[in-house]
This record gives sequence, C-alpha cells and structure tokens, in this order.
Amino acid sequence: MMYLTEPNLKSVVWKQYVCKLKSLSGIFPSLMVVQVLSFALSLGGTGSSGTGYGGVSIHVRYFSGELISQFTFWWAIIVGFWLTIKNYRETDFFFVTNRLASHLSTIVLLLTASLYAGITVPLLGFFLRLVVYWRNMNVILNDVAPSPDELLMSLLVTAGYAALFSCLGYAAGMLFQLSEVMFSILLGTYIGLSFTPATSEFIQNVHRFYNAESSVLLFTMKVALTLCLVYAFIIFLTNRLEVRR
Amino acid sequence: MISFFAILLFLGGIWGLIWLSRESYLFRRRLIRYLVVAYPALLLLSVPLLYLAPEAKIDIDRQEAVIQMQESSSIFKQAIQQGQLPSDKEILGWRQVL
Repeated sequence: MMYLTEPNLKSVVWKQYVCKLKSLSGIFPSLMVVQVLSFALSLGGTGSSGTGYGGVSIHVRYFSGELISQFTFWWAIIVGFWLTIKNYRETDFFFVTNRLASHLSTIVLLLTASLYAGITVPLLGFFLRLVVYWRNMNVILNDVAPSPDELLMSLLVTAGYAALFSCLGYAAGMLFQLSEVMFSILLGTYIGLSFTPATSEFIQNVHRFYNAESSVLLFTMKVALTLCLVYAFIIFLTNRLEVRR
Repeated sequence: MISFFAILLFLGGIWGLIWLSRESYLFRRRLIRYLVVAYPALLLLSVPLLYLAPEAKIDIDRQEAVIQMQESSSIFKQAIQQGQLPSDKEILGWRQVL
C-alpha cells in the first residue's frame, strides 16, 4: 500500500520535539529564575568558619557555586516530573504517534534542558567569582580565573548530573502516573532504607558510585549507561498502555 | 591536551550561541527567545573578564600573613594534641606577623 507521506520514527520524534520545545519553552525562563535566586543567595557566602586565640581571630567565608548547582538539580527533578503530567502527555496525540515516539521526544527535550543547565551553571559560578572579586576589594583569591580544564569538566559533570536528576524526576513521574501505590511504596522503601543503619551504607554506596568518581570520562559513561537503562525501563513499562490513560 | 579541548569547547559554545540565535524561532514567545540566547551569552562574557582581572589585586602581604596564620594554627593544634601549649614568645611572634 502506498501513502502520500511516509512517516518514520525519526521525523515524528523531531516534529514532536520541536512542538514541545515551543509549547514548553517556559522551562528555560524557570531555570533562569531558579539560578538567579540561588546566585543572589550565594552572594552572602555559602559557608564560614572561624578560630581564635587571645587577640588573634581568623574568620573565613567561603563562596562557591554549590548552591546554584543544588537549586538547578532540584529544578531538573521537578521539570522531569512535570513533563509526565497528564495534560502534557496527551498533547502528543494530536500527532501521528505512539508511546515510543512520545517518550523519545520528551527525553530529547530533557537532555536539551540538561545541556542548557550544564552550560549555564558553571558560567554562573564563574560570574559569581567575578562579582565576589570586585565586591570585596581586599579579598584574597589565588586563582581568580578558571583553568580551561575546569570549565570543561564543570560543564560535562553538571550536564551529566542535570540529565541524571531530570531522568529521575521523569521516571518518578511515569511510575506515579502508572500506579500511585507502586510509586508510594518505592519512595517509602527508598526513604526507609536510607534511614535504616543496616541498609543506609548500601544507599550511600549507590550515591558514591556517581559522586566519588574522579574520572570525568568514567562518570560520563556511568551517567550515559544509567540514562539508557532507566529510560529503556520506563519505555518498556509504559509501552503497552492504552492511548489515553 | 585537555586545555586544547576546552578552548575548542569555548569556541564551540560561541558557535552554539550563534546557531541558537538563528534557530530561536523554535521558542514561541519573543521574550523567551531573547532570554534563552542572551542569558548564556552574558554569562559567557564573565569568563574572559575573569582572565582580565589584574594580578595586582591579589594582596601579597596579606596572603603571606594568612599563610603564616595557617601555619601557626596548625602548630598550635599539634601542641594541644600533644599536651603542650606554645610558649608566650611564639604567640608574641605570631602577633607581630599580623
């Protein structure tokens, strides 16, 4: 049988991706708001320590982009979860589509947002350095300018973490849509295991699998592998759902 | 080698921004369109500005003082751990440094 147009998965995913980027472009300004807010909070310093003896006292105030990263990762989780809300999922069915194409276009959108976050977080961190440098005229900074290696590593690592957290949010959202009971059980189990002394070490080891990795290349590979596994699992789990659920 | 890749990445970032400004029709509203491009572009400006920060602003004398304070602090901690407090002469020496 011949058709005037032959849709293939690639073109359908691309069209849906463009449509989602247009209709959900609000996620980018929301990222900017979150980052500007965390930037403002970071200006006062993210930590301090002090020591003293007799007439000598030392007070050290730390400035870092840690808060900006944390806020951005929370934003990534929320965005991932938010895209699974029924109203957003159902807009896909205005197109000729299936579950796979819908998932793939959302995943590409999440990866784009993560990449954008990965670019802006280190840059905002460097901007923070610049502001702190000019605001505190007597501040002592040894390495004001970041080394190019630092820029590259920050970019890759932040984008990786943002992709990981948005994937987590998306997986949580899809599980929630699939079965609220199952989602509650899984969340409860995770929290329970984290606070039980016998199993908390296992949970910490899972966290260490990512955050204790010193090689950027290995970290990127771990993140890519996790993303592939989690997204494949979600696609497999929800592929047989009826069109509108 | 990594620095070379990082410089390439920086140039790639500029190219990406140019591409993004051309493809910005993907974003629905004009304000969002401008924001998405202008925000990283402004942030990107801070990187060369950091490199231009004059070295003279680093207060060498104060830096020396802090290094000496850190050394004194570690000696003091060691002395406490060993049950020996530093002598008054040493403490006076630190005060003179500061």
